[in-house]
Amino acid sequence: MSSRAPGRSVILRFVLPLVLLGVPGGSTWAETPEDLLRRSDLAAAAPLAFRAVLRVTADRKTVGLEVWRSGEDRTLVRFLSPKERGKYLVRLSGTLWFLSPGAKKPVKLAPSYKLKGSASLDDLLGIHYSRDYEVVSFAEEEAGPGSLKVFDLRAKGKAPYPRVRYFVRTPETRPVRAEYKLASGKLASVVEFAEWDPSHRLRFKRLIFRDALRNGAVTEVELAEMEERAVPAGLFDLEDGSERSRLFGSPAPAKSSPSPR
Amino acid sequence: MKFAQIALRNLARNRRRTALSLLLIAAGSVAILLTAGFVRYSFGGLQEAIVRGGLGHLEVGPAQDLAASPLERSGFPGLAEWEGVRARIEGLPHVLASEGVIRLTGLASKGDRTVAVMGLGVEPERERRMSFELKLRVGAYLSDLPPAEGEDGVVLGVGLARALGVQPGEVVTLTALTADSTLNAYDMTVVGLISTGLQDLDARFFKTHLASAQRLLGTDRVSSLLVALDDTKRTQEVAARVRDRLAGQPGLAVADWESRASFYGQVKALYSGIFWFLGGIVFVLVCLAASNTLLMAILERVREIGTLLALGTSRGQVAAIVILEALWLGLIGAGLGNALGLGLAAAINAAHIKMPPPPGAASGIDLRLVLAASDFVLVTALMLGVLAVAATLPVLRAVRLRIVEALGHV
Amino acid sequence: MTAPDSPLFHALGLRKSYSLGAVRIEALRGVDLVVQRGEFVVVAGPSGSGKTTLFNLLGCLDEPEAGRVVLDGVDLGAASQGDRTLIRRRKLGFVFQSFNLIPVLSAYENVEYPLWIDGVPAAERKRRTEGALASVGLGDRLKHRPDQLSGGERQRVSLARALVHDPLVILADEPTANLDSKTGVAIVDLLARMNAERGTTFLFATHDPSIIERAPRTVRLKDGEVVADETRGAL
Repeated sequence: MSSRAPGRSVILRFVLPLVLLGVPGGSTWAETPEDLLRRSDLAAAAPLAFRAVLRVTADRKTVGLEVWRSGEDRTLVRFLSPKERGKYLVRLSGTLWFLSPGAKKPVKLAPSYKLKGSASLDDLLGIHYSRDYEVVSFAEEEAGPGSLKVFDLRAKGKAPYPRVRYFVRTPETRPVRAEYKLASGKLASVVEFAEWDPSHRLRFKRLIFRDALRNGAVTEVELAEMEERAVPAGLFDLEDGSERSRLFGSPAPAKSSPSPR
Repeated sequence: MKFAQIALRNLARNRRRTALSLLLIAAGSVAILLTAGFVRYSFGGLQEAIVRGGLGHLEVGPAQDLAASPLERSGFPGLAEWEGVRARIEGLPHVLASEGVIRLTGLASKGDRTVAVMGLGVEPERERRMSFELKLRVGAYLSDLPPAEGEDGVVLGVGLARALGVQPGEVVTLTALTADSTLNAYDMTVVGLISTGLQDLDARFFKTHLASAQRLLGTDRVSSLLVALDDTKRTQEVAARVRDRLAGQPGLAVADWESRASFYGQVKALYSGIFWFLGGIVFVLVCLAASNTLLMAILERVREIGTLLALGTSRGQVAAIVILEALWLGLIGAGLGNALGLGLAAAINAAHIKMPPPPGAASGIDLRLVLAASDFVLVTALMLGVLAVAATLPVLRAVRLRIVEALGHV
Repeated sequence: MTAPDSPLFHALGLRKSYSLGAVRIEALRGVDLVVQRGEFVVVAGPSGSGKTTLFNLLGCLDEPEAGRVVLDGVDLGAASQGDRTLIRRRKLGFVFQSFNLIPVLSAYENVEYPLWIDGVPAAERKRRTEGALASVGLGDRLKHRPDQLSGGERQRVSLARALVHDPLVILADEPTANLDSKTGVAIVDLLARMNAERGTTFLFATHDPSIIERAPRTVRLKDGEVVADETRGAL
């Protein structure tokens, strides 16, 4: 969002809403599906640099994750459990690395690596629909007081899921649900946007993931904290962990197992 | 008894033909004997290779883990208080030693290269006591003592080392999921390279000290206990004793090596199939030749058979004479074959003929034949069976003779 | 078993023919014959007269196409395969032209054979075998195999074998044809003596005139029919 020109920003913030207020259903007769997609895209609405704390619950266990993001292509995940101190996941330009106190060098992981339960980092950070997908088809369904806009999306290039079915409720212009599909069309998972942060239109409070490939296994993600702030570049340095140590403290001592005789 | 005497004397009437038949039967017997001896030796060798190759004679572990095939076992180490279980087993007779093992899967990485791997956490000192083959190709094996943190060592399959581009002395990072489903990673020094004999496995396989594996997984459990015996033939006996000892611990199961080595079962089935196929060929050849011989003998004695019938010999008694002739041939031929086979086997064993190395081995092994008493019995029974079948046509020919025509036969 | 004075053999209207390639040969054309117990009957006729065919039918070795043979009151045609075997074993004795001894058995064993297949106990077998051999004048060479015996000795063994089980009748089909004349005479004398001493019925097929002229009863066959049946007196 911060990449938009100031003038355009004024129009979007002041002029357009005034126009929109006068239109029943809250949608503009001139708005394209792409426009609506962009307006409902959480990733597009997120600040470029932030710190967030997520509580992820799966298999009746909850873990705390601290996410530091700077720009589209630099993300660090810190495991908040004292046992996991010193372990990080760092994503740089699409490549995911694992840093561990026991290993001097970072370990490359698959981008689809599931952090907890069924949720990958892309799932947690939000998939950038308006940037990475194109609208194949668009339909509207009646749903209670408003309506449900249903997008069929296809990945433009490299994206976490080849196909997505995206449901947006208007006039709130908030996503209700997204269905992620594999290239074969088979359903991989479903995310339900269960709760919203009342202070921000497009900031979720709670997401529910259901893994269709694992018998609908449920992973819940709760956004506990969100802070828009600058993120030190040193956090993402794979070779030098000093910035991380300074900010988060030294790694936890390794668990020593009893030596077998 | 007299029919047996008559049958035996009949064989002596045409010595050359009888000798040829006996030779053929003996040759068939020798073929089967030597094959049986080779197969038995191979099975024995294979058994030992499997057991000493790291499978152990017995495995003790959580019942639901043992139920899955080794390749399907992906669960987290589930055997708690395993040292106590081990102490109860190691005192039993014929038990050499027992080792705790952890089966784990994860990632091995070096620089930019990451490979999905599967491996074992083992106790090297116990492996030696259990006479396990280490199959080391390059470098050294894991140290006996549990390494301190930061000093973990690992041996890699040769294919895996190649994929990662590492040599002994270099460091790789092993990453795995802990019991909490969180990731953990440790740097480990490659101390040596091993070869399992299976190329595909070598590309993914590693071994590290049990302590290192436990540290990586954040657990003090093991996946199971492997038990080695001093005599493979005692496997079932010791298994029963171990089950008795562990009766108070439901949830623990004891599996023998054969149930865990599907490869062995497949090889055994293959060898057995080949053996019986060869036996079938011998059967058919001997049967056809013997049938021909017996038939010729009958045709030469048509008038004599007519006389026997005229004298009041029943057709059943005539059939008995023919069958007994066949059985004598089988018995004597098999006896000759057994004696020849025994001698040949001894000669072959003494000659120390070298065979090409089997998969995974560095050097060839001696061709050896191991014969058991049951082999001789089997051969004899087989030849008696063959000859009984071979006698079918001649018997039918003999009992269907019309007396008058037979008496008039020249 | 019939009454002692009833006929031993009663053959009625026997017919038998054979195929010789495409040709059908009628070997017997309605032969009737009655033989009493203890008789010594010579069946005479040239080659092809039907002697052997008649003996085969009387000896339970073959079956007629028409007619019947009753032996000791038993209709051979109605007897089962198993019964016919037993009849041959117990009631009949054969002496063949070519001796037909079992080559792998010794002289003693050849004679013993009919008793052995009938399950006679060993002691009894020994007694009767030795008796039969003695009655044909064979005391030694008992362990010899047939190929080690002369023609005359072989025929004596054959005769002893035919006698050993005390048959009702002995059928001798040209038993002297393969012997020299002196031996042949000796054999015929032996048969006559057996007939006189033991009362065994003999049917003797021959075309030898010197034997025919001595026979107490001669049945002549020609082209498959009985052309004469002459009774003379003792042999």
